[in-house]
Amino acid sequence: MGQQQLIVIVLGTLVVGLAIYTGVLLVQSNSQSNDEELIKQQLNIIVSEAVKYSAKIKSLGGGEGSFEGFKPQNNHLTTNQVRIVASFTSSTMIFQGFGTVMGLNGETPVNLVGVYDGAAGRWQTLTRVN
Amino acid sequence: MAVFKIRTVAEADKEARRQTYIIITLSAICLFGFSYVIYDYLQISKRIALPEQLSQVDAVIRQLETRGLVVSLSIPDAKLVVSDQEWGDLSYEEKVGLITQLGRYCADKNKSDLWTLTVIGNSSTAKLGELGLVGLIVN
Repeated sequence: MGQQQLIVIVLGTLVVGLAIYTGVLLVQSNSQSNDEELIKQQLNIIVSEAVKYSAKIKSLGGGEGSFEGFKPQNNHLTTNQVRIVASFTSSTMIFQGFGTVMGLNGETPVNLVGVYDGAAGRWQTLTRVN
Repeated sequence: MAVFKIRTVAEADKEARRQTYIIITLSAICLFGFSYVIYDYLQISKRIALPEQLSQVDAVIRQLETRGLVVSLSIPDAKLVVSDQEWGDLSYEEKVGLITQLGRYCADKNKSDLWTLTVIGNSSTAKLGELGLVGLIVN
């Protein structure tokens, strides 16, 4: 076997290795996006519950225009794939959502941060931080 | 019975050229691939890893102090003093992640339900970020 043919075999093996690595990255990226979507979905459920709470008067167990005192249901905060922690103030809700797949740093799970502005009725920030 | 094909010099040259092209193409693919792998590794290794468990945040703060990003963290005041230069080098996402996690960490230590944090630049004394009643502001 000639020297050139040996080089072709070595380079071919390296290309196959790189193709496998790229494939793994693609699958990982897809899983991360999936986790991200699940967290967003769960955050939107909690926000809609909190908005309903805020719309109710205090005598009916609501917040009367405030999110303070709102307690999300446990099954909304923790599912098989998503864990959410939150802080509620009078006009804003701050969330951290964690997935199960490793995030961009390769050490900790996918992490989303969301800040909902109650006065404006929209997300002030909804960013994937890992 | 073995059959030997006799190649002309022109055919041998053509085959050698073909193999050279294959080697050049594969080398280019390998070079591009390895550059991407190194780039990907650098992107991963320089990101701040924020743990989900608050019990592990102390170690991250010490790590960030060693790196020079965090100058001090006052938990009772929920005030983080950072190096302006290092802060400027972080991406928006990293800043958002750090402010939120440390805001939550301070709230937990202060036994408060409200996540608050103010980020101040060490040399500029400018407010670089804020978390609390105003929501989240990153400068």
